[in-house]
Amino acid sequence: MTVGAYLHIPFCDSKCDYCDFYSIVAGKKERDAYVQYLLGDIKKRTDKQTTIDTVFIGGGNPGLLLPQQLEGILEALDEHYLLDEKAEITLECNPESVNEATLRAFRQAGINRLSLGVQSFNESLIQTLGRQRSNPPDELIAAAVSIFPRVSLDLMIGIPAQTRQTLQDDLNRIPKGIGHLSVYDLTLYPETRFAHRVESGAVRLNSDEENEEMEAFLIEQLHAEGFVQYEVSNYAKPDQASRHNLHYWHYDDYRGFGAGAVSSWKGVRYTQAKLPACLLGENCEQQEILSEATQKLEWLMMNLRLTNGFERQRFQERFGLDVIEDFSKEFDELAQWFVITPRQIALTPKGSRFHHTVLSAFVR
Amino acid sequence: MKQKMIRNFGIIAHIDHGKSTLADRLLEITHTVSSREMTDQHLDTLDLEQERGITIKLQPARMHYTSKSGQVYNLNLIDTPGHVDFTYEVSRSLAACEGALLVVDATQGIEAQTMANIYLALENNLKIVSVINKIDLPSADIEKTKKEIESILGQTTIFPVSAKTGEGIIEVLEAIVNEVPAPTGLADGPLKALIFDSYFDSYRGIVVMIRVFDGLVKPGMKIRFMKSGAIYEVTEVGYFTPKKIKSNIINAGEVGYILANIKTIGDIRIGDTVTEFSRETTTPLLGYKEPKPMVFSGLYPIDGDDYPLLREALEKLKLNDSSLYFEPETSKALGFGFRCGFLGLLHLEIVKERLTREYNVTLIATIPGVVYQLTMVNGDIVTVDNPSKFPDRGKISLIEEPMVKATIILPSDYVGAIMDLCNKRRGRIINMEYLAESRVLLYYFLPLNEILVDFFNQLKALSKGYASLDYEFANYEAAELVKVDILLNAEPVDAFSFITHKDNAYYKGRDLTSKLKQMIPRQMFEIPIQASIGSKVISRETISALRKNVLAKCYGGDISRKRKLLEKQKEGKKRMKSVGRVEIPEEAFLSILMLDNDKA
Ligand SMILES: Nc1nc2c(ncn2[C@@H]2O[C@H](COP(=O)(O)OP(=O)(O)OP(=O)(O)O)[C@@H](O)[C@H]2O)c(=O)[nH]1
Ligand code: SF4
Ligand SMILES: [Mg+2]
Repeated sequence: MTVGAYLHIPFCDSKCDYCDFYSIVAGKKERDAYVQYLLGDIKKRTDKQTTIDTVFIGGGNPGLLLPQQLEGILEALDEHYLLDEKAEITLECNPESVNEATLRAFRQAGINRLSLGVQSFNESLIQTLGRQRSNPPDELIAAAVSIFPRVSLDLMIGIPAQTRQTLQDDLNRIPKGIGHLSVYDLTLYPETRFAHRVESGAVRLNSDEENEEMEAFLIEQLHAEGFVQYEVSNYAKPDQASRHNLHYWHYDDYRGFGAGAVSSWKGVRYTQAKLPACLLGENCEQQEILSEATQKLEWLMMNLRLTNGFERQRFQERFGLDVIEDFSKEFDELAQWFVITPRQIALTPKGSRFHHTVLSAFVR
Repeated sequence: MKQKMIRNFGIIAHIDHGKSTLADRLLEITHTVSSREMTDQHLDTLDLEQERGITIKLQPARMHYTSKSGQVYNLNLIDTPGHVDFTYEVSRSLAACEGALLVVDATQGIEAQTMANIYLALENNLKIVSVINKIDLPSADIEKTKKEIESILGQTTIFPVSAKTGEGIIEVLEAIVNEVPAPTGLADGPLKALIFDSYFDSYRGIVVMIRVFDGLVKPGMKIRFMKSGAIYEVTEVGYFTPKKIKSNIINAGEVGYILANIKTIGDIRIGDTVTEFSRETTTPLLGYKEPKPMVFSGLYPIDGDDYPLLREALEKLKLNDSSLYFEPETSKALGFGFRCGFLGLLHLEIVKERLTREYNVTLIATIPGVVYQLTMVNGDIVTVDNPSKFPDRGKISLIEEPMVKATIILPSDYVGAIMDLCNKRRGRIINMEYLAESRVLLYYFLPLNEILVDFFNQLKALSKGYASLDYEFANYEAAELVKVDILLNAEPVDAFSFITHKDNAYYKGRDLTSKLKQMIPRQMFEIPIQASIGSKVISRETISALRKNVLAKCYGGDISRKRKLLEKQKEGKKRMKSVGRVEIPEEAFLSILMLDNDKA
């Protein structure tokens, strides 16, 4: 069995206004204690039958960890699981909290892919988002490209006052060596400071039309640069797609370690307790048993996020019958949103923009 | 029990004057309900009544009271609703009684429904015992209230009480046993009992609520329902406390229930006389004059497959709400449903809610309207209770609408504002009287259609809550009315059509289109909404197309949550009605009801 491993580091230097990720602001002492817990979590769930071929250390901002802590974590994975020598090992990182030297040390520790949360290069847009930034990130990105074989950037669309021009500026500042981009729509999560600012009228969101236009522009520019959209929000140059995330989109099993981390394992989904409960108890894992119907729905939901969809054979292998047979009524009614060949099924570009609407019809 | 020890009385009042709370005290003092079981407004047994704090259904309760003279009486009270829409509950209750306990709130005085209920009691020849309630409140004006009652009823013995503290309650009980006449039926005559209510119990069949006038009824007796002709053998009898308590017999003069394993709904008619099969009464009761529904609306199941369920639910609910009228109809937009008649908007809302809660059918209701009388060009006269069935204007020579005679009671300070309101609603004053020094009675003719929506709220707002309203059907009158249609995506949606005066058509059309724009979620295509009279568009709105509907991030930790969002979206869709390509949420139909929620 070959799976991806996710490790959650729920710490940030400060909380961005729009963020609803599970992360908290904590000092060094808490982070150290947490790493101890994480090592214990890995050990507790030792499984020498399972090969890990991708590791993703996400957060929060795992860039806050010390290189030796990262090394320790990877060693623990190697010790208690089978860590593939060629594993893709990604570290998520806020450019604010690292410098060239730490990046080198991270590389040394075994990280071979870096994902940098940039969102935008534009100062005032970053301020609008309520995100901390003291220096332009350009130099750090350049350093990252020279240190890591693969580097990905996160960008955001839909920031109030963002324009085609600011986007163009962003694109101009992306160095050639970047092989992967995640482009997310700014999402308003209730109860975040940003949402309150929108509700109070302090900031005004762009119209859907404006955002759609910017997105179209961005896609066009990225294509020209040799990026291919391979998932709803992800773009990659050849061989640069995130192998770890492809595990999710292929609906493979995966293991999650750390506070709030989720695993899918043989039809059961486990969620670890969050801080501080996870530091205390043994029985802090929640379980959700996934019925066959649920697994099918999730399988389709994930696989249809991919631009190329999926091979029908794979569904057949997993569930024992052809997907079109299984969901004949749904595919009939929704035919216009799909490209269906004897081997492959994918959403059309428009269908992909309405992924949620289309997939909700598959709920049984 | 001997009839001379029995007292049957209904509790009547304007809404909120404290009938049910007073009943609580009576139940308490007579130890009918133990203090452990006691709850506020104990006789409001429906969840809906408790939640809304109003009584919807009549509810009998039997009590034993040992009077000051040491005699044990069998008292049967029936708590009744105060809202004008439920007056039929009051009249049905009073027909089973010899007395009425009239409750008047000392902080409000006589109100419109107080008057209406006094008339009902007098029509039924009941002895009225008057009480002034809420005397514990600082704003209580006992003297003034007393004078108002005196001037109407000519009574001088009036009992001040507090249903909250219990003050004065014993005196009221004494007055009931001393003043209200005992029943005087033929105890050994042939059974003659009045059906005043019923309900469906899925295990035991129909529970028939009766008042025995002559004779007695007990298990094993073969009975006949005289109007329906149905014959059954009684399996159980009993009474209410309000819990159903089994007993051996119900004698002349008593109120109770019978069970006879009755499953055929049509066999039970409210107002029918129950008699003994082998010894029939020769003087069946007159029964009730069925109230005429005033407000009509189409009820449709959101899920078309629920149509048979809805039919069954309506039939069963009618057992417990005999003023409900329904007949099948179809709508182009909504499919199969029922045109239903109600006594008012609150009644509509309650029926809809009860169907959903008690029978599990989710419904939408079309715009409520009234019944119009049309004289056609060819001389035919037709009545129309559904705007979508309105013939072409060209074929109609005269449209007449129902008028009501409204009674409004209010402090004289607000007369000007309320008269303005009535004039705006096309009202015509009939008369104005002084009830007391500063209390005025206004009589108006008003088009029923004009007071259905938001009239009552306005009335309350303009009088700081002091004006009260009662109305009854008067006659039909000609008016310049037009039919406004609503088009979604260029398709007329019959369920949204409505009739209004030509002067109001424009703003009402605009109001509805803009409401719909807010209520209908954006879809994958643009949706124009138009209001039109005939082919003339009078207002227009557009719901722009949804640009995108995809969840930005979806990684390992998000899968369950995102799947649940899909499930939620699907669930939400179940509460949407597809009309053509457009999906309309249930709430949109609710919002167009624009219900005048408050109490009359
Ligand atoms: N202070 C005070 N409040 C009272 C008294 N009697 C009733 N109330 C309050 O008045 C409100 C209405 O009381 P209900 O008993 O529900 O009135 P009702 O006449 O049964 O109302 P409907 O059945 O809906 O017509 C409630 O909030 C009661 O608590 C009283 O004697 N004193
Ligand atoms: S850095 Fe990322 S995880 Fe941390 S607060 Fe900002 S958006 Fe949230
Ligand atoms: Mg009540």
